[in-house]
Amino acid sequence: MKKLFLFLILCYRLSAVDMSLTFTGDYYGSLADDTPLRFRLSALPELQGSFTDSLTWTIDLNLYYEIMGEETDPREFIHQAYIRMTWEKLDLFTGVRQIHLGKTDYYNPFNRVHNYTLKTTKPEDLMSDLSAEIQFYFNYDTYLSLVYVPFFKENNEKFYSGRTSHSLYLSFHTYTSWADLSLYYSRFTDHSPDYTYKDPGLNEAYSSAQNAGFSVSSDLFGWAAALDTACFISGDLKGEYPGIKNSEFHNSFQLSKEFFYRLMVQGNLLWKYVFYQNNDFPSPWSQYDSFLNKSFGQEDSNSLMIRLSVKMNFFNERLEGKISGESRNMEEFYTGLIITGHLSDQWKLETGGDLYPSGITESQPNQFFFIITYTHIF
Amino acid sequence: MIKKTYLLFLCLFTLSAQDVESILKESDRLVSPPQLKVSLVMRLISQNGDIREVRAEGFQKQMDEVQNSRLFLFNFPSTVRGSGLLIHSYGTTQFPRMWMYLSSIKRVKRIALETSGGGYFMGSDFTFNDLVATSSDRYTYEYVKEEDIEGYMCYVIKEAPKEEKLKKDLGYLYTLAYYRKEDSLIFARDYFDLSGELLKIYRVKRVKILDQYKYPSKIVMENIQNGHKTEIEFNAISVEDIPDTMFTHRYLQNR
Repeated sequence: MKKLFLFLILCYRLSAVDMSLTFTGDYYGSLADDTPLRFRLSALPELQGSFTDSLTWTIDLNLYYEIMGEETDPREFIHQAYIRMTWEKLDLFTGVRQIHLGKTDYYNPFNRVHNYTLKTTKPEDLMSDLSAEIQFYFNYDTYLSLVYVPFFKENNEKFYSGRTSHSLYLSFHTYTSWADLSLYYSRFTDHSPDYTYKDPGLNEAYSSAQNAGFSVSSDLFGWAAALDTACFISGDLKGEYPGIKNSEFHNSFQLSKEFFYRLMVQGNLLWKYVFYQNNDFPSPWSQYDSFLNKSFGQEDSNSLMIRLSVKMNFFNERLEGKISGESRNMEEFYTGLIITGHLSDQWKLETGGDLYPSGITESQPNQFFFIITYTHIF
Repeated sequence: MIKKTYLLFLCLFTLSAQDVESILKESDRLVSPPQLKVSLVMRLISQNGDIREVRAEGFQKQMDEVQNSRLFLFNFPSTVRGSGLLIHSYGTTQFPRMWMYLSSIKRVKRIALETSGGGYFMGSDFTFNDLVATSSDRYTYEYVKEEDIEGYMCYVIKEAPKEEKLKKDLGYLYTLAYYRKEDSLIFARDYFDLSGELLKIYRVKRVKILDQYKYPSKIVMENIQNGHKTEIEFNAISVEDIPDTMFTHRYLQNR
């Protein structure tokens, strides 16, 4: 922590700095019995600076104190801390940095660099991994990107069968007047664990996997459309080892459009096909078959996820309401509501909760929350 | 005798098509320096007087004979801080393209512009289509009258999109544009919705002279139907050269 502050002071002294500071207080409670789950106060400084035009740095931190909850000691973690170096055709980023691949916002099959997605809302879950990225620009609208992640956070010790944790994500991107196109190939350590069996039970193990596919986004009859198509190839290509998830084919499609100038509608659809899907596990795995399939998200060979969200603002955009619904195979349903009040340009109050949880969020208690935020830009 | 006087009056005060064309050309030239850099403060004012403020840096450049590019980099409020908007417009040859860099998700997203006037720009009363350069070939122009607007005599010209689809995309049937007699600068515009009712009014409140150009440095757009108003002030206006590299996806996402 002391080193971090010394580094911050050094950066501040040596370069032009652009800074904002956000304070939040968040309260989460259980819908079932009003039990308080968490009450936390956080400070989130965001700093950006440049030593020269071609050497810039970014630091986003989260310092928090939990009044009520599981972690009552003051803590801090790094959202982002990286430097960017730029040359005529190259951009190089190194450090802890958020990287989102793919073009859809939800069910994105390429978003595998970190262990979070755009659905992740709690700041402490937005922990990025240490990485280095090189972007090589053929021209200003076409580039090749290579991301290297040497290991992922906190779980360095958990690797499957002695495989290394190195991850490489290669992608090609081009922005044309009619569509934006991307191609991807990655060989990476999957953040979602596989399992080994050692008497008396299962142990988590992190395996290497591959992912390949393409993305496209364009205007489609006045809608903004995005498509991510990917083939996830697991370490168990033929689906013979029950402890390793099987390979999958993902097709994620997104449409979004604004109506009447204030109503934003977005629909997402994911069709997932699991290769060699099997519910008939041999002993001793058979006793864990439903757990494993659920853990891998591979209960069915074909599954369909649908998500619809509607966002509307009122009173000069001071008040915003967002309702979203989600369904898996039209069997499990979820509906959530978030209401945001922008009390001033600095103060924001957010409240919401799980309206109709049925199956999809069963790993967590159904929650409601209040978050108050104050941001000052220096 | 009365008929003859009326005809003489018409001859004296009706502009020919060539006159209208030269006014439009001069107006376009006045407000179109090859490149422009501004700091803008946009105030969104609701009917009850509530004011929200958006601050950004704006850049504009005529890249070649066809392509005009604009870039907005937002720095206030915190919800949009770090986000950017890149617009490439191509006159009549292609539909304008827009990309937004969202700092919250660290990604460039393509935005559809084809419907509803392209949506309102950052909650203002200016639609995205009000911001992009549209070719004059797609409109009909008709001289209407002369009128005094805030102390300046103006030629009033009715401008209507030729195609029904364009009318629908823009969200209005026609506009009445007010060009100052003294210099042909567009000084005001009234927008009429698809049912012919007055929708919103645009007024120039201050003009900055930049060598051979005159740029509106304070403008107001008021929606008459809902009482919402947007006031934009352009400060630190500069016509110095801006590198082409700023109007690229690389700059948008990696600046």
